[in-house]
Amino acid sequence: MKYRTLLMSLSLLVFGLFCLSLVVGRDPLPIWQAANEVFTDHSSVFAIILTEIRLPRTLIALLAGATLGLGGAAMQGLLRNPLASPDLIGSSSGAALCAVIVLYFGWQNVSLQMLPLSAMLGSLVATALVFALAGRDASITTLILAGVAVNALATSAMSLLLNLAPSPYAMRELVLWTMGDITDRSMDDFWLMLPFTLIGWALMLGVGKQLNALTLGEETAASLGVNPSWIRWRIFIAIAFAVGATVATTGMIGFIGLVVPHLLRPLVNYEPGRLLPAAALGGAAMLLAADIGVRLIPTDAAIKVGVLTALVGAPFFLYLILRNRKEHL
Amino acid sequence: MSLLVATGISFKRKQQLLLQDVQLELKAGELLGLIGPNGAGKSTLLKILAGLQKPTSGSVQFQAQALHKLSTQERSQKLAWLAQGGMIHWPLTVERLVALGRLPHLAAWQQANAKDQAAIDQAIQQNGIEQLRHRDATTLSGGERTRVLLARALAAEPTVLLADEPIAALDPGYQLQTLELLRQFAQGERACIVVLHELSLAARYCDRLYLLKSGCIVDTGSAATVLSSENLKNVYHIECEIGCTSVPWIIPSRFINDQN
Repeated sequence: MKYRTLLMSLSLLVFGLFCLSLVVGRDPLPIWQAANEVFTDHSSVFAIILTEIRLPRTLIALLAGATLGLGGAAMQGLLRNPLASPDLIGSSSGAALCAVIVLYFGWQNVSLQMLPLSAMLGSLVATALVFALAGRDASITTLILAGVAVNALATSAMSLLLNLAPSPYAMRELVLWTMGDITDRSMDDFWLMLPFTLIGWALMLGVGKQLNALTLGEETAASLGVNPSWIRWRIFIAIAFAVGATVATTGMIGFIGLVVPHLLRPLVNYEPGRLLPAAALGGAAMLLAADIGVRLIPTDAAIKVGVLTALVGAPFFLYLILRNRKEHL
Repeated sequence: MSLLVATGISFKRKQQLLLQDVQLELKAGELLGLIGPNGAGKSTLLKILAGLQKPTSGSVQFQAQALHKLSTQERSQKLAWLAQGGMIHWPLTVERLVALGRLPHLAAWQQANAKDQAAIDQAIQQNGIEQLRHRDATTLSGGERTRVLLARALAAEPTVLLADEPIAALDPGYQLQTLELLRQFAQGERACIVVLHELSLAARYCDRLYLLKSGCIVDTGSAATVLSSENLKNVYHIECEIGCTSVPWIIPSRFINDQN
């Protein structure tokens, strides 16, 4: 498939899922009537459902999915490793830990930006820690072990905070938040995450050629005019911005950054640079689809979208490990 | 005209002196060979000449300009470095891999134009890898991989090519073909430095040789001067049969164990 055709197809898929996400729900929404009422009678029930429930949820799914797909592709390109993704190497759990700390102490009431900023800081520190532990040319095993260690550290700190939660209600809120969810989000949440997300995207999408050069190793890439340590920090910071803002808004939604780049890589002839925009579109499509999916699954309590992506992603991760093992036999 | 001049290059890593007061000059039109035993500092010197490693002391000049003062883009356009062994992490096609050589000529969002494609096609043709053009580069044999990576370096159309053991994984036929290619490259305004272990081929193809031992230049000059029995005994601890029929030949005959 030609690259442009692939991007066009993915864009159409995202557009289709975006529209579907506005329509689909426990209560069907007559979309034309709702859209019409947004302009004529914005206090009508349909207009409120569209602008205050469905639209922010859909926009946040779009941003978060694209961020996770793009972050996974950038991380895998940087590390030349198909098993790297922001959630496996600690970026997401670092962000989640700092966000939980802010929620626990109620600091989000001090300033609206407190939550995304602390999540970004957590993401940056956790990612840098994994890289520092694993070393520059880390093997796949070392890197995953370092990720496991940092994830374990963040998770245990989160468990401690849950353990010390002042009330069962507060504990439930924290647990639900860490599951990864995009329900009950408002346009304010969207506007809050948008600038940080866009900065992260811009930083990541601009390193396509450098990631291609890294296919030949860091030294050869340097001989081609790439500064590998600058690229590494640029991607760390980009992930901290975009993934940090995403985690602060949605909680931890796992496996999109692992699965989507992996599925799309053969379609871009394995070029890390070309994978970036494709993975962003693919990630958006996957999260939009998962979010539509959780609305359609008939359960009493709504399934959190992070739970669904993990249910799909974890077996996929196992499949990757098994395939990796077969290749090395 | 001197293209590259290294003056008083020393390089220390973890308190270990890997290069000591190395002087080197590469002239336009020259194919220069760096020879010496494993661990002599040849690859480190090549990286310093390519601007990939900073010397602890000393300086490198490219066309009478300090190398570190050139912009990264200018340096990578003029100097191509071919790594020893060479890694390929993703299964790109051979053509896309060779195209990476054009990166120094492209701005951030610029796509390859007809001139870039012509350089890529020429590098592919020169290296005789047309039939591999659409192959997955990670499935190539050692010899094929070396030729593809050399094509990647040549696609940049550099002034100086710095090649670290480019014929190590090649059969005799491809060894000759590759050195012919480097000989052909090092003409006019261009030049090449190549790290070699095959002394007979170094004698045959290189205009001048630099012989290194423990980070120091032991001797430099024509093959006839550098590849003397005495030098080879001193540096490699070997006795050799040295001769010249239609081509020069050096056959190691005995390893001299100093402890005996």
